[in-house]
Amino acid sequence: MWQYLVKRLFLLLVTLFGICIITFLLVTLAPGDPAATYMGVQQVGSAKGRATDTVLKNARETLYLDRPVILNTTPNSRARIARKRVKELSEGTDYARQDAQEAIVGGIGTAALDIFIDEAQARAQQGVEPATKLAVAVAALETVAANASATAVELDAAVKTVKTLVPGRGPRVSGRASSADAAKAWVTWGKNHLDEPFQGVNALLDTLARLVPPDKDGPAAKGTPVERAKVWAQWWEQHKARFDPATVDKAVAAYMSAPEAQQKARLAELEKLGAVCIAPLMAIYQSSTGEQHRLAAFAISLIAHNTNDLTPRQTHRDEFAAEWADKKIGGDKEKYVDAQIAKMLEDQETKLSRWWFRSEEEFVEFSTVRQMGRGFTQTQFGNWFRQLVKLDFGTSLAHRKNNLDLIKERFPRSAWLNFFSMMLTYLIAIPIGVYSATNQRSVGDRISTIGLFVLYSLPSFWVGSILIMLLTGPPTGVDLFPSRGYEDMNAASFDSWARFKDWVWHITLPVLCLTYGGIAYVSRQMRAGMLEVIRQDYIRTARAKGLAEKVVVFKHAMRNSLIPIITLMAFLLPHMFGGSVIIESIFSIDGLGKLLFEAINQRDLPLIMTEVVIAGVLTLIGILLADIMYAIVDPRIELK
Amino acid sequence: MTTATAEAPAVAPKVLYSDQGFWTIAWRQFRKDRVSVIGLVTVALLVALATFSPFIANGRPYQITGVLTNFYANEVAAFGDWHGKYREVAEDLSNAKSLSPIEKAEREANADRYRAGLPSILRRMGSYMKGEDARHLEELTVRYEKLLAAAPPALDRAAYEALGDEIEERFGAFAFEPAYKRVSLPLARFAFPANDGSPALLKRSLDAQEEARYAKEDGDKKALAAAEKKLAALAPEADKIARTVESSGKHMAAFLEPADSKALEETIAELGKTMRALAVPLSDAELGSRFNDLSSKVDALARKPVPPERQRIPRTTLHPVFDYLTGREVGFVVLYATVILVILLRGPFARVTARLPFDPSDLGLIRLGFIVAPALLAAFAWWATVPEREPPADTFYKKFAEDLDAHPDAQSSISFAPVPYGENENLQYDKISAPTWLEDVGHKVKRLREPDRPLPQGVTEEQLKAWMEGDAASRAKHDQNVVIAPWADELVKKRLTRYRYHWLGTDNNGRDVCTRLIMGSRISLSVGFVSVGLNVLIGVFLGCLAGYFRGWVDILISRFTEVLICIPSLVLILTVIVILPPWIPAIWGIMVTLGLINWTGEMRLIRGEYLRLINLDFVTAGRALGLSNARVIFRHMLPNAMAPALVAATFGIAGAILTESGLSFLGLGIQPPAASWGSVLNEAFGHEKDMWWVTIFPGFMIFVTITAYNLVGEGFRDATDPRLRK
Repeated sequence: MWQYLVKRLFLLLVTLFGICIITFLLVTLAPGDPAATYMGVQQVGSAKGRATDTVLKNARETLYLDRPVILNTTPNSRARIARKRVKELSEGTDYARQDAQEAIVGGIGTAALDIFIDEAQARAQQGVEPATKLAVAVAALETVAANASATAVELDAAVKTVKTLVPGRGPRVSGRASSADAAKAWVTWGKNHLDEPFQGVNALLDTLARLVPPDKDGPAAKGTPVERAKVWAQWWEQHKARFDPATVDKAVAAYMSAPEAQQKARLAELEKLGAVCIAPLMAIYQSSTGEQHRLAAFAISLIAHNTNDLTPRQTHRDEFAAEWADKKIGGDKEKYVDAQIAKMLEDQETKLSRWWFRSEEEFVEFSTVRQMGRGFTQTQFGNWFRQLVKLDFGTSLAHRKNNLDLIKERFPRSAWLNFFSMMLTYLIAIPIGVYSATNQRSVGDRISTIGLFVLYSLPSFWVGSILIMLLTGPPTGVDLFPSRGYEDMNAASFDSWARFKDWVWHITLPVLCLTYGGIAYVSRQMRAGMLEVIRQDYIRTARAKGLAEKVVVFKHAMRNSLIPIITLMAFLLPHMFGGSVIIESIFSIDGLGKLLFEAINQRDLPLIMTEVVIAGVLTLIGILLADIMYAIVDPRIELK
Repeated sequence: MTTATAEAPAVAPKVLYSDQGFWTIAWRQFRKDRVSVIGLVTVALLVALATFSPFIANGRPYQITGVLTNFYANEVAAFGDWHGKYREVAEDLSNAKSLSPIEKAEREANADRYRAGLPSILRRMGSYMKGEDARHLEELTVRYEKLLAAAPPALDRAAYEALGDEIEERFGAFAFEPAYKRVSLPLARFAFPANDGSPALLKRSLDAQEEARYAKEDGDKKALAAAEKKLAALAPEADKIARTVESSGKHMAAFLEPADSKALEETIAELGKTMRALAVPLSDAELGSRFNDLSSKVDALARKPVPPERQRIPRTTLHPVFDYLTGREVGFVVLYATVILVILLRGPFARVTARLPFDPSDLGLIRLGFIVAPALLAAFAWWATVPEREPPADTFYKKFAEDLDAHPDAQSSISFAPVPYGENENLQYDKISAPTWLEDVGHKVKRLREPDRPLPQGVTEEQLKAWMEGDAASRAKHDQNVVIAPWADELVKKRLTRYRYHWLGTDNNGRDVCTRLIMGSRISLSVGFVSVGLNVLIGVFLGCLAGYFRGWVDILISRFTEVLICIPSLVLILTVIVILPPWIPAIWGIMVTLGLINWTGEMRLIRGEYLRLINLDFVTAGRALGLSNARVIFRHMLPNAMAPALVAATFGIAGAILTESGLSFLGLGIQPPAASWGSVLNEAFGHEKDMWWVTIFPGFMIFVTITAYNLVGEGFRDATDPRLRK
């Protein structure tokens, strides 16, 4: 038995993983941009402004959509990211340059100072030759342009020489402008942009100056890019030791162990070092608890410019206290504030860990094994699955709410509806089944068989529509029931008895629609099972012994024929969760079925995935329970 | 039926279990259950409804006889359209280097379509004509065909265009309406601003005339010369338009009464002179108003009806329902007929069958081929010989029919299908009408009174209502008091014709519900067949593998199945619909989706059967003989394992139909303009009380279908399960 259970549980996990993968793939393969849903951008492409792009880019990063779906064949590490950023700085538009600079300052920063300085030197050297060429070409162009008798061909050729030296850049020249005008525009532009080949290097050097400004021991480099790069290289030779891992570790340790009075100074020290401290700080943060934990987080938040410092302040307490007063939340004020603070801290921990999962690559050089592991974790699926394992179901894109909260909010409605309909189903169906089996071929049996057959074939959406037509008011029916909703809009203000009455009044029709099909199905099952059992020898024996018919039917026959029915009960759980999309839509009941339906329509991926995974888990548990119950009820079955 | 049951006891004891297969015995069992047989007959009738739907509900008539100038004009327009399109395509193909391979393939497919279609359009045009005209057109058609015979890049474009122009010039004029347009269009081009907003030729020349006049009065030689120059520039264009007007006027004159014809010719001559004079400097100042007078005179003449003896188009008969059948529809009709024939041969005509060299009662794959092959052949032959083209709108024929009802004509006639509406025929003025046989007087009066066709002068809605409601006595009273009765009958007859009779009412787009249900039955029923067919294919294949090989194959397939069971089917269906490749038509999308998802039940059944069978002696024997795995699995084991899966498939058809209707009801399945029962029901979603008929009837169809399938499934299960045999 136990062995069987363990085996089943193991298989359950395997299947669950399969469900996760299939769900994830299906939902991801569907076309459309979830980031657009998330940001409420209606049509990507029509408004291709920079703002939209940036917003979408950020949203994509938040949703992990910038990573591969299942397998990351080139997972990033510190050096790769640093080189990528340098490349972004030296190629691309001014906007891209700005973005890259911000990314360096807000992220990788001093952690890759060595690479940046190497690159600066190399790229400065590389820029010298094209810069010279450009100066020559511009001068040549100027002479040609100044020459009044120059032909269009000559002008074009001179412009082309300049153009090839600065691919993709240049002044805005209208296509209709004459060659002379174009040449003039190019001369003006060329004179102002003689340092064009140095653009990337300059951006890099500016970034370096922002990372280690002169007032934080940085060099005050001036002059041509080559000279500036040289100054930086010399500075690096002198100050290398300060950014050495061992030294940094020492500085971090000093901060962590410093008495309260010196902490500020030590922290300033760390801030001066910059991003290079983040990796050791994070190591301490992850391995420690209590004050050390908080101190590490505080330093990280300061250096990485985020607000997850795990340090509740008086302002927070005041805010929560004000909230307590505003929203008229009952109970003890202090308790409420403490609870809110605890919630805030928990939230910050989550955010910090998510940030680190994403940004670790900027600060740490990975071992080969870890790098290979990150090929699986640094993917959309990896991220989602990691959160799932932590029971973090994410946020709905359309509702901007935690998925689990959303489901919790809607669950009672679907659950009550389905619970009632299931209960009603069994209460009505089992007696009917027993009756028609024991009175086989009687008039009652025939009528119930035909009636149930008809019920079984009636489409529920049709029945729902007809009920609305006939029972919810004129012109086509009588006004007996409401046509929509789970309860009255003002139900919250009713007293409990009135509320209950209103609720029953509202759910009668939906429950009816959900029930009749089940009745037909279960009672047919019951009848078939009962007939099977009644033919068995032991029933004949019981009758031969002279037992009363009542005893034979209810004690001997019914118990055994209930076995398949009892196992059906195991599906109550997934059924209650799944809700019924069609019935909930017809009667406008905001249950889980309708939630799923809307989520699919709105392409709210996290919500769809959450609902599907929970439904999958419940179904799996249901199947398992059914098997176990089967074995418990029927001793002939052995679990192997 | 009666003969079969009468025969059964006499034959059964002798042959049963001796030389008859499993399915023959199962069929005998099945036949004993009356209710299941009723279910099977219902299914057959529903399939017949779907198969023959073009003949039952169609906006186009079976047959139409009359002077069909409009129809001829339609053909002329179609010819002009395709002629131009083919020219474009041929041009594109002649410099094929600039085309991508996909574009080229697309152009080539189009070119083939046009090449096949154009001569047949000409032939159809010829079928409207008699005597000399017909011979002439046939001659031109043969020449045209010869030109088309060369592949598109080698097309002699100059000859092609000249010939096309000749045909249009000569035979286009026969359709009176285009001929009228041929005069009025150049006139309009002369008198009205162009599409791009540049001023009309008339205005430009009048302005220049005025300038010239003022310049002359002022004695400004320079301005006068400028105005003259302007007018000289306008002259060639004016002359060109004038010539077009004259030549088309001549064509048009041939269709008018002699007196009108003469008047027209004179007017046109005058008009041409006026138009040319407008470009001559310092001519008459009244030219503008003269032009207007003359052109309105031409217009009035052009609108006169053509006297019968002048019509070049004789009385013709068309069969539009058959003309616009598609190959697929023909194929299904033949398929249905074949199946019925086979059933007849097995049942009532069993004695004939006994003499056949093969036994058609055994449904092997080859015999199945005998049934399917004629259908495929017929479909292909139809597709190859009757080129597809855009049919005219359904209202096109309705107009003729309504005119015919208003002015009955002994020689003209039109006969429609029992339900004379197209699947998407929007009768806006009839929208949200209850079934006509249930309609109350108020609604009828409302329908009599359409926005574009008001009631006659001096009659109010109330009077009409009172008249319609009243009995004979009150009608008589109305007769005395109000002058309403004499024409009221006529009005009712004219406006509430059989073409506005809706058996099952209309939806909120004015589409006839009955037609949509009949046409929708094609989708609703085929969803069941196609998706369950796919289910059985996938389920049987995977089930065979899992049950036969067991081990890790079984684990893999079973886990995958379990995963599919655990994911809510709505999510699966909707995502699969969305990610299906775009070349799968939307209608097929939902069938394929259901087919790809619902196979889990079949797979488990087949797997179970295989796990049972694999220990039986015949399998061991087969393997011991060294038969290949495939042979053991598919030839030896599959026939013994199929019965439960096929029973489940029968119920599965009902389930698939229900799922499709549910999805379409939610607006997620079949998308308009196509209709299925669920999507018709969707029209009433949220308006149940306003349109009860749109709720009741489609749902009833679904209900009947599902009941029938479930009955068949029950009977089938009982018949194939030896324990339940009576």
